[in-house]
Amino acid sequence: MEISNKYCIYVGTTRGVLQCSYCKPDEKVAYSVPEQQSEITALEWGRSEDEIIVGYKNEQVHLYNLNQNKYTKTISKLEGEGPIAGIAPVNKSILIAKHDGIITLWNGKKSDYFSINLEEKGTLEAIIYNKNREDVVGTGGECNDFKLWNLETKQCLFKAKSLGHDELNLPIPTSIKGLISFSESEKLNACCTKEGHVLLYDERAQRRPVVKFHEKKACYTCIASAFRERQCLVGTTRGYMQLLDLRAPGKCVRTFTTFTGSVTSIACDPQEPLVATTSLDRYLRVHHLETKELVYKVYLKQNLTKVLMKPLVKEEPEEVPDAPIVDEEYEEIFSNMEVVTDKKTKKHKQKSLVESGVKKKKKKTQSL
Amino acid sequence: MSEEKHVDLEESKAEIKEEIKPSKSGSVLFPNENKYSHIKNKLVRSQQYQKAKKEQKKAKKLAKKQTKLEGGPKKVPHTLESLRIKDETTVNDINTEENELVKNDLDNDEFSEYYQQSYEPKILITYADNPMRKTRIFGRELTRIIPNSVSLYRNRSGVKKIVKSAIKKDFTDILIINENRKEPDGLLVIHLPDGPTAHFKISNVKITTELRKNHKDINEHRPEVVLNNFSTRLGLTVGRMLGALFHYSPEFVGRRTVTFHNQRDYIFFRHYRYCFDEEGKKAKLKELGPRFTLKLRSLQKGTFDSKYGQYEWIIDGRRHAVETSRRKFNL
Repeated sequence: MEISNKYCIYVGTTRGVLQCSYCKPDEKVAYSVPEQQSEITALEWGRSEDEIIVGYKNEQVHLYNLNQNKYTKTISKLEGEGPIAGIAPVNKSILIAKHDGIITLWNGKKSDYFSINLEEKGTLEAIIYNKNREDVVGTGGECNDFKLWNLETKQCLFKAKSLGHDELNLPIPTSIKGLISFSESEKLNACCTKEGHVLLYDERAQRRPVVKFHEKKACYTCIASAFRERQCLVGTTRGYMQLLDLRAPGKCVRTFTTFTGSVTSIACDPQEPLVATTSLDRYLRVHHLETKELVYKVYLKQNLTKVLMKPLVKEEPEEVPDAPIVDEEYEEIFSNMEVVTDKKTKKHKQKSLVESGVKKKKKKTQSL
Repeated sequence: MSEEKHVDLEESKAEIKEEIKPSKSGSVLFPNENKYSHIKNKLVRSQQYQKAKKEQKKAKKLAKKQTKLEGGPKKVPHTLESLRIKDETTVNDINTEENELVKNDLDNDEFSEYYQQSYEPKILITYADNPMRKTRIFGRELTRIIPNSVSLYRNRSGVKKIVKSAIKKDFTDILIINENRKEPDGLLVIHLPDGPTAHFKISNVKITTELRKNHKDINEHRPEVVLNNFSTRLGLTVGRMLGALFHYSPEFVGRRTVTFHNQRDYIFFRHYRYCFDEEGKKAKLKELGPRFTLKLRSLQKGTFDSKYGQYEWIIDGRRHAVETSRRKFNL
């Protein structure tokens, strides 16, 4: 399958370098090195189309402009401690979550923050924000089950129940590593844990997960929704990726094993069955979801942590010269038609005026 | 017919030399028909055959001599290494523009501090529970080789606990020797405080007594370290990791070298004392022992966490995918 120049993939590395690949074979990947080097822990599309928000381990957030290929703004000195756990653009402001559970709504001039009150051991690892549902953000982390928060009132809307106890009467731990929301319904959210669970929560139904998928050996690192309904992709630390079907009972549909290092981030095209993945083995890979074919692979020289993918829209100037030709043809046709119809109507009118009586008689005879 | 075929073969050989690839172009070779097989007398037949063979050998030798006199190019034998499939991660010159990112990566990785010579390594060597005699001796000998290292028994402690307490006591690396059937068979190298962790299979361990050497020959001076053939990006990390176990400034008075030689993904460890001859051109080597071979199993980001740790490289479960060709190497 040919995907060269059809996609634009942005990749973040452990040394803070942002790289951009166009999926061309043997291309020299463009990159930009920031001044302060720190691992990229969050990467998200910005508020406008030409903006990317980058979150670092050293508690900083940078705004990157795609047109100028420059870092335009640095956001630092935010409330809370620890690496940036998640970022989301909310209208014209940016939602920034930190590892110790403090979520800030940054708005250029003023920033508003609230804490999600974690336990002693608890951390914040992932957040989810759905554009169809403003004012609601989902959180999860280590010793910190899935919760939904209202941004305005800063109240907890939904709190997941724990998975209960196992056969030895020990609590089953869940450390959430990634969160997604499904496109078909904003009330459906799924999370993956490092203990090998993938849990689907339905707010309307119950506080316990609706669908539980568990693989004992796996340790999941990231999750992404696939292009089909109720399917998701999860990556593991031991270097494989699974395509899961989360219709009850959840099951694994496909396993991708071309990785030699831990899968760190997954991005899936919403229309086509193509997945871009980054791995600690320094390769960016693009797989075909149906055939499991490795469509594209490039060595990016550093450990990769985050990926963003968008399809490139074909440039329009090619279509412009086509348009006038079509118009001319149509004009010719129309001009011809107009002449004919005018004459006919005129003739008809004249005839009708003069020989109306005769025609009527004729028609009558015909009908008879 | 046969002559034509020979010409064809020679041509194809010339092609091979240029590309350095195993030949796929050669046509089918039919077995040589022996000229002397029709001779009925066995003695005469074998004599004739030997005679012809001798002449052939002589001619070959002469031709070889001639090319040497004429100053023709020296032939390099085809080995798995020379025919190696090119690895795109190979780092040749780190200072070129295209390797800027690699350099950036190396300047900021966990070993950069050691290579800026900001600290002296301090090594803890420990074993599996209940190590047997050979493993214990092997560990002791490692403490003689690696400067500023101590060997301690594990006392049934977990690796994660060892890591925590070792960080407190300012150790910079931990070596854990595992054993199976009374032989050392695994080596875990943990760099402190933030990893990475490498797991090696260890084989062919020969301790000094098995090499009929005396461990008292190993002097106290800090050794020189030779790291050979670590060419790919993964190999570079492994090489840096092994290099960071030793003190950065060797004491040349001791004339002691430690070599890690990588060949076909196996890392051979040898330990020598050298001595220059009077002219100072050639060096005599004396092996001091021990010797052993390492093979990388996995490289993990962070300190030891086999359950939840993120692997940078792991071979477990994908040997058929990774080892597709005998001419492809990872280090």
